[in-house]
Amino acid sequence: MVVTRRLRRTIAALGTLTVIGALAACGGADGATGGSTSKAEVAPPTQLVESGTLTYGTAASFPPFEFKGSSGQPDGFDIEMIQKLGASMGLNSKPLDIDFDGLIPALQGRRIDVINSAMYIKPEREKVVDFVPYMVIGESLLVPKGNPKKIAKVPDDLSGKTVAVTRGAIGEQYMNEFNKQLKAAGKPAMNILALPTNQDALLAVKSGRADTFDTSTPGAAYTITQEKGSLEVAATFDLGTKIGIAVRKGDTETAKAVKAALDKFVASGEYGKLLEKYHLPPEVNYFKKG
Amino acid sequence: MSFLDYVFSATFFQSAGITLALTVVSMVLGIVGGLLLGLVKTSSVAPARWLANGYIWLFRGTPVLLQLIFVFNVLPGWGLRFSPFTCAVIALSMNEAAYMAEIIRAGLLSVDRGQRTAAHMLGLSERQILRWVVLPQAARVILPPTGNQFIGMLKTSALASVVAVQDLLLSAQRIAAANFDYVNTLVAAAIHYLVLTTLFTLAVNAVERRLDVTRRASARRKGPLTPPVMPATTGGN
Amino acid sequence: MTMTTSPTLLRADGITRSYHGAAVVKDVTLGIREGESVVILGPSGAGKSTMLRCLAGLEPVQTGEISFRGTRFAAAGEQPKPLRGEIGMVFQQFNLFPHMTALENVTLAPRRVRGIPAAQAEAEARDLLVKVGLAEKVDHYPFELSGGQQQRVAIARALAMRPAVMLFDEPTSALDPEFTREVLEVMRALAAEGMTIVVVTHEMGFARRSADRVVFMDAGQIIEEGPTEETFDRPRHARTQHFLAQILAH
Repeated sequence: MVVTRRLRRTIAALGTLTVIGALAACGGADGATGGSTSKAEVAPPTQLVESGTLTYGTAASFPPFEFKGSSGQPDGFDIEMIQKLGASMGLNSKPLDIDFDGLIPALQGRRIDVINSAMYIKPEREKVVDFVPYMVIGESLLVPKGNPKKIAKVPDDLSGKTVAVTRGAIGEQYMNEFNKQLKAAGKPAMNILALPTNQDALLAVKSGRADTFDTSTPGAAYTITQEKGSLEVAATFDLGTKIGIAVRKGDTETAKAVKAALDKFVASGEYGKLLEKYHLPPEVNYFKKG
Repeated sequence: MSFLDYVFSATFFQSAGITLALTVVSMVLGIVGGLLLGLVKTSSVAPARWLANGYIWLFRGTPVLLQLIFVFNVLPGWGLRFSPFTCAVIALSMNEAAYMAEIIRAGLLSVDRGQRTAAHMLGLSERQILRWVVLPQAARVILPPTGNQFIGMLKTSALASVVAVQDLLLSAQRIAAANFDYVNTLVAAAIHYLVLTTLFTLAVNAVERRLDVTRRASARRKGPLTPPVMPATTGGN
Repeated sequence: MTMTTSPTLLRADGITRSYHGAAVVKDVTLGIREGESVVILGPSGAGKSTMLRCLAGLEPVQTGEISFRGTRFAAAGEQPKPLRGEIGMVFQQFNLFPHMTALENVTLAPRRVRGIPAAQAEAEARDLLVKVGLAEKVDHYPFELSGGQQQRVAIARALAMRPAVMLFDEPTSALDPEFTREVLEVMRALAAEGMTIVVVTHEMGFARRSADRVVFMDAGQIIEEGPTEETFDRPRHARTQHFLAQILAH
């Protein structure tokens, strides 16, 4: 998209300015008099955009993490999670729905305290912000409820099956790679059905033309929700992408507070429950032992 | 859901309202700013002209997106923290003023010098000359490009999503992201944009007709009209 | 009809007007007495219109000064002070406001400058438009009027401010000959009423019949001036003689 490319350049150009601006912004006089009555289990950051409130930026266009619900308010895994994290710091949490490209500038410009938008942790982003990771995601294979073809082990169980992928997506490359491995092991290759859109691939599985459908882990989780449980995740692999809550570079105080609140959230079992609620497979649990 | 369900949904009406408000407020402020800049640009005070030219250079020479991000994210560091909507209005109207300044300057220069001279000899002050003699005539030249600017602003306002303004396009994208119904949501957004654009065009045409003296004259009297005979602009000896 | 005894209304004292170092009006001294009608003659490029514009306070002067009723309003090195319509001016190109009807053209200044109520201003404007023979055209826009009619509206517009003196800058030069007469008639009537007028024109007939005094200019200077008949019949200066001979030969 043209806008996006231009924006990237804009943001790059603004980088220095924003940092200067952010430095100058320090020392806001308003003391943190919490508006919330709940007792803080974790000490909240002392420098907040709005005292008593955890203001977070989110681009509500990435279900199931954040999306506009029927009420028009942001909803999703991240939204429910941050409300809990905020509460354990004795803070109310308030979303600011910003176009994804505007999130990092807004963080640097102190319009928000954290970015809570399922942001993928990438080296170029780590140069400008610090992350508190909370999930790891990859690719998932969707099958009809009950997993009739008993697909569990990748790639062995795919041998001889028909796999729907979105043309040009990373999944297509994986399947081609898997076919080479199967061939090397002397097993029959899978039949790869490359379709133009996600919807087409989904339809192929529902109509039985394909045995399984490869998509991103979040995409799979959301599709299950949309299809009201007629599908399930058979396997998740390539768990290489971490996602995290972003704080300003060097803002160890906020990072620590978020980390502490997150640890409590995980220890209490609420994290696991929330994963289940949003049909996210247990493999994505970043805090899982082993 | 068909696109009509989206067109008539509360969310679309709400965000179209935000887009409309953002466009109209930014445009009105942009025109006022452009008028001031246009006047300064035609003034005889050289340093004032330099300042106006510098402003126009700066705001036309940088992307409006950069200006939006600057107002939203950098100004708070200098103690100026405004709501997302206010930030968008500030950035869009300051940007618009730079473009309107050139349009208004061209309009002011299109009015024959003799008009000012005649008004001056009648004892009118500079402000009265501007209000009663120059602006009404300049308006005919200024109006058509201003209509274009209005429609341009309607579309530029979609950039305000980068500073958390819930405009029409962002709302459509958000809905589509949740239900993958890109075709219907974007068609619905397009319909809202087209309706707004059409309303603007009709409004501009109506004002243009009002400023047309030949139409005013023929509305008052029936019968054929001779074509306008405007005075030539040659001087005496 | 010469009024040598009436007080001086408008006076230029040694004025020079130059553009980029080239003087268009050079050290001109001229007094206009109340009730007088003065015609300024001379070849094209003589500086007549520039001199008239200086008298109107429209041009800054590089030397000398100009006063109205004894009060200086323009002097070397300063911007002329605006007079609130006390000096009326009529232009070669009419300069009517094209977006206003004849009536609106005439009422604008009385209403906005003098603060006269709309109804009163309109009544007076109608009288003036009747006086210049345009009773039927009050609601017409300039583009609907002939050149002669436009110029008569312009005269009515200047008169509406009740000026003490009317300056005419080649008022008929842009007109077709058929419309020249109606404008000159209005000017003649004004002069006959005792209005002080100063006219830059090439209309010798008008000068001869209506002027109390003629001023002959050439190359930015006044070459000769005097009572109309005397100057026309017995010009003293060779250049005046030459100019008159050329004009009258046509």
